[in-house]
Amino acid sequence: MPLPEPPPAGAPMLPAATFAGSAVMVTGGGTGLGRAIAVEFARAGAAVGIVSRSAEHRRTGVEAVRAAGGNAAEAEADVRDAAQVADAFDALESALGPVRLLVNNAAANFPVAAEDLSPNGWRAVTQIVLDGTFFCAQELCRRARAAGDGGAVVNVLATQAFTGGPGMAHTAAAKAGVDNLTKTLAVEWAPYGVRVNALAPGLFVHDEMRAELTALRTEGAGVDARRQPAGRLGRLHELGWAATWLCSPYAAFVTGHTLVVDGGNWLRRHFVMPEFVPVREQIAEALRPPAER
Amino acid sequence: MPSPEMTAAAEVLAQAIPAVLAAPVADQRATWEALAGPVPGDVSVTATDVAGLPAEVVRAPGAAEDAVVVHLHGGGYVIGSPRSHRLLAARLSAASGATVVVPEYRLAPEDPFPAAVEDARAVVEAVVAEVGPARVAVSGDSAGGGLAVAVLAAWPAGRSGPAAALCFSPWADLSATGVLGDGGADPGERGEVVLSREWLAACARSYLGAHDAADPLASPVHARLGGLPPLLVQVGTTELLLGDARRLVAAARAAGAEAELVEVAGAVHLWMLLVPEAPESASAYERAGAFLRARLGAAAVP
Repeated sequence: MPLPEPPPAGAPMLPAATFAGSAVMVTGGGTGLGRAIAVEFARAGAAVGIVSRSAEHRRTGVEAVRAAGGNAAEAEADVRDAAQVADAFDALESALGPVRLLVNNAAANFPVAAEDLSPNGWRAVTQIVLDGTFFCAQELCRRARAAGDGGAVVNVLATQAFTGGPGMAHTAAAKAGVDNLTKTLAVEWAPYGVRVNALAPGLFVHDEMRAELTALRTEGAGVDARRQPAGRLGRLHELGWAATWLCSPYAAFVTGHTLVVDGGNWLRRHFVMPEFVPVREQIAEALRPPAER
Repeated sequence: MPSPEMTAAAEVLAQAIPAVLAAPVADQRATWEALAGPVPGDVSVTATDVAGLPAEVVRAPGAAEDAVVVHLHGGGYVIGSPRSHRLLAARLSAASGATVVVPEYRLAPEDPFPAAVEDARAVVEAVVAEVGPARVAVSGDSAGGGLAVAVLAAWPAGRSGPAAALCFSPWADLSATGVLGDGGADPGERGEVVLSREWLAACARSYLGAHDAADPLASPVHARLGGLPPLLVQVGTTELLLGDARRLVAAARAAGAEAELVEVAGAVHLWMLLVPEAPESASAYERAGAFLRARLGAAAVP
């Protein structure tokens, strides 16, 4: 028997007005996990600001929040640029009021053998994940302090942050940096009432992932409940619940923590070692044209 | 600076494409079909035939039925089909407010030059006869871009032809592919990750056999381009075909045609099909759509 299913999406996890009068900024909030988290904030009463470089993604994020009954606004920003981050805060605060909650979800990713990774590929991923997370968190803290408010930040990680990520050197290194940053900021900012936590999702399937399941993309490969100790995949609202709880007053004494929501997958070890397959060979197999499979 | 989506896709394509292009032609065709990706559910795709050729008619919601873009797919005259290019056709229809017709023109090596030209010309003529030349544009990507210009350049003098020409990453010179033509030397490696000189040369051999690669119907940079309708060419700066695009636009302008070239920094060959999620792709379709709407008078899509 697999791990049981959670209560259905839409069921209240926090009291409906938990975030009444609060605004949350979700980077990369237009698609995938970010959008799912944005929707749960809306259900718990927060106004939601969607930040993305893409107008189309901002539109889908805002529509999802409004469909869940929430108040939404959008701002265009490339989180790699601190000035654009500040402008996004300005835009969202003028639409929604003070932004004291933040979900650092924006990321980029692709499989590559480390020796093949180009400088541009390395920088694109590490700057979005590590620089972007820091710039957004720093901007929130500065504003909260200046206003004498507290706040809460959730950084979205991956469990590769703890284990290393063969075939994903850029993401794994950047997320490990964010894991460490989470701990530092938690201590530095506790005196200001600003909490900083992290969330490490396991395997969650979302629409965009399916759309990318074309012949030459490996994203989503191995999306199979039988490969999970839990016997099932994560449900998107479960992740949203974890993020909202971490930002809520019910987690008021929780800071510097990384919460793993993956059905135990990252802890698995084999009693009998499976055959080792070098990363180059794994990638070659994953990228092999379908006609040859 | 290219978007992270473009950068990431370039890295993945660089790893994946060599095996694709090294495969036998039948497998390459199958791979490109599988690459098609999903078309938005509100876009209608209807199989039909035009001028005796199989074709797909692709129409986004609200697109005009009597404003038509004939899109000639790419694939080196050897691979590709209406199926492999459905996503491009769907987004082009949405952006332009026109119906997009994608014919299944005959491919080499089974049907070498000039089969593709004959088929493309027949389809364009049939569509022009149906809705009138002022409501027809011809577009094409890669080999299809060269084919589009070749057909338009050879349009009979004195007969009204299509109102606009649109090329994405055109392969316009089978006799000197990859030459920039600005007096500089062969540019060599620009970061091309999709095409290779070897693959293009194999396609050219397959398509042309012993026929002269400088024939204007195969290499429209050598055609008389003065009679072309307004031309928009979009190309990525990493592309081996950057020179083909530049020389095509320069030749069209020198002949007195109206021609615009848009070079997209860091974009890979056929980015609007291969990296549809990149903001560079959204811009490419927006530019193409605005260009076509202005010339076809199609209604803006809400």
